[in-house]
Amino acid sequence: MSNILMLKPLANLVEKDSKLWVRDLNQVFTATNGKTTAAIKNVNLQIADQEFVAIVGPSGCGKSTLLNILAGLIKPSKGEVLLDGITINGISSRIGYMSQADSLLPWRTVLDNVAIGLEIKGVPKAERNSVARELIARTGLKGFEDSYPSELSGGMRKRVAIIRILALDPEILFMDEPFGALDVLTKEMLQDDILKLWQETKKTIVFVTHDLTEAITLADRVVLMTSRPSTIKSEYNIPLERPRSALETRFDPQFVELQKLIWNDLRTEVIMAKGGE
Amino acid sequence: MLSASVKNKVTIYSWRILITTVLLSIWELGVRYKAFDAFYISQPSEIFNDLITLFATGEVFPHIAITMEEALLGLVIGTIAGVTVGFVLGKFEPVAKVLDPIIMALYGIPKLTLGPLFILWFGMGIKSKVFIALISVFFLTFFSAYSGFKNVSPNLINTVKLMGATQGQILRKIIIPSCVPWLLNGLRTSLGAALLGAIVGEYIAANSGLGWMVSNASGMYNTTRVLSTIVILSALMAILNYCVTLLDNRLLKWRVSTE
Repeated sequence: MSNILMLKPLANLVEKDSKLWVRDLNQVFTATNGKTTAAIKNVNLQIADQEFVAIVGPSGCGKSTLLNILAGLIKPSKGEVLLDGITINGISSRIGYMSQADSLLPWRTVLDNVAIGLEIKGVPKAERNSVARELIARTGLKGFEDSYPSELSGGMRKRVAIIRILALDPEILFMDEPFGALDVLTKEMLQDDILKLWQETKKTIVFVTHDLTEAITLADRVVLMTSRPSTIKSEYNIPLERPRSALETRFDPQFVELQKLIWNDLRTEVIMAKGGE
Repeated sequence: MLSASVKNKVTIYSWRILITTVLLSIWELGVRYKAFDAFYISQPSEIFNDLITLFATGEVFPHIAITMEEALLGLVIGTIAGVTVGFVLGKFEPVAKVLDPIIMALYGIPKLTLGPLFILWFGMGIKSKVFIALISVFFLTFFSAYSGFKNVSPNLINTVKLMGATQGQILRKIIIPSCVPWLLNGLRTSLGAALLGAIVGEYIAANSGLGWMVSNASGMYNTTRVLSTIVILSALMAILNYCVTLLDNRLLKWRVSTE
C-alpha cells in the first residue's frame, strides 16, 4: 500500500511550480466580548497548476474560513497566500469562487445570471449573452435561458452556478461544499460535470467538502484538516486513473482501499470535533 | 363544461352583486318612502345623477388633477427620501443606532396633526399638501427600505464582490433588486397615506381639490355632493391600487413558479 500513499508530497513541488502557495496561515477571530478563537493554525499548502485538490475535515473545522482567505474575502491574521508567486491582496478576477449556499440572483433569468460576471466587467450585452448562451447549451440547460431560478431543480441551479463562474474563465476554481445539500443521484451527476470540466479545461481546483467519497472521486490529492484550531493533519495522493466517472471509480478496488485508509485517519478528528461540542 | 374554479368564481361574484344591490335598494327605497332622511344620507340615484353632472360638465377634472398632483408628488418625493435615508442608515449602523429613538419619536407623531403647521409654513397652495402627503410616505418607505436593506443576503453580495463588483454595482445589481418586494409593499401603503395626506390638507385650507370639494359641500349641507366626491376618491384609490398590482406582477415575476 505504501506505493499509493505518499504523505507530505510537498517535497515534489518546487516553489516556482506551485500555482497557489499558502504560507504559514493563521486566522484568529475576536468576538465582541474580546474573546479570541483560533480558527486556523499554521496551515502550509502548495497546489500545482492544473491540480485538483480536495480539502476534507469535520464540520465547523474552518475549511470555509480557509477558502475565504484563499479567495481574498478575509485577510489572514498571519501568513500569506501567493498566486503564481504574488501575494493575494483582496479579490482577484483570476479566481472563481462557488459558495455552499444557493447564490443565484432569484430575480434574474438563467441567462442573466450566467452573464452577470461579464456584465460587471463591462462586456457589451450581445457579447456576454452569446458567451452565456453557449455555456448554457453545453451544460444541457438549453431551453431554460429565460427561466428563473425558482423554476429550476436543485441540480440545475448548481449547474447554472458553475457555468456562471466559468463565464469569467478564471485560472483557479474554489468550491466550498457546493453539493452539500443535494440528493445522492444529483450529486453524482454534478460530480461527473466537475470531472468533465477538469478534463476539458485542466483548471486548478480547490474543492472543500466533508464528504470523503466525493473528495476521493474528484481529486488528485486529498488534504485532511483537524478540528479547531484547524491545521493540516495529513495529505494523500489519489492516483486513480483519469478520466474518471463518479459512479465507476467508486467500485475500483484501489478506491475502496484509499477510502478505508483515509477514513481511519479522519475518524479520530470527527470524534474529537464531536467531543469538543 | 365549466371548471370547478370558474363555477366558484361565478358564485362569489353573483353573491357580491346581490348583496350590493340589496344594500343600495334598501338605501334608495328607504329614502323614497321616508324611512330615512335624505338630508343626512342622500340617496343612490341622486349621487349617481350628481356624478353624471360632475363629469358631463367637466367641472370635477381640475379638482381630480390637483389632488392627484399633490398625492403623487408627495408619494414620489417621500419615497425617494425614504429609500435614501433607509439605505444610508442601513449602511451606517452606528448612525442608525444614534438616530433610532429620534426617528421612533418622530414616527410616533400622528402625521396629519402637523397639517395646520405645514399650511402655516408653506401657505394654502399645493406645497403644504405635498408636504403633508410626503411626511407620511417618508416614514412608511423608510421602514420598508431599512428592513429591505437589512435583509439583503450577504451571500449574494459576496458573490458579485468576488466577481469584482464596485459598491455602485452592488447597489444596483443586488441591493435594489433585493429590496423591490419590500419597496412594493411600502408603496401600497404609501399610496393610501399620500392620498389621505392630500385630502386632509385640503380639508384644512384650500380652494380646490377633491378634499376641498368634500369640505365645501358639507359646509353647504350638500350630502349628495359629499358622497359623490367620496365615490370618486374610492375609484381613484382602486385605480392606483390596481396600478401597484400590475407593477407587482411585472417586477415580481421571478417569484411565480411554473407549477
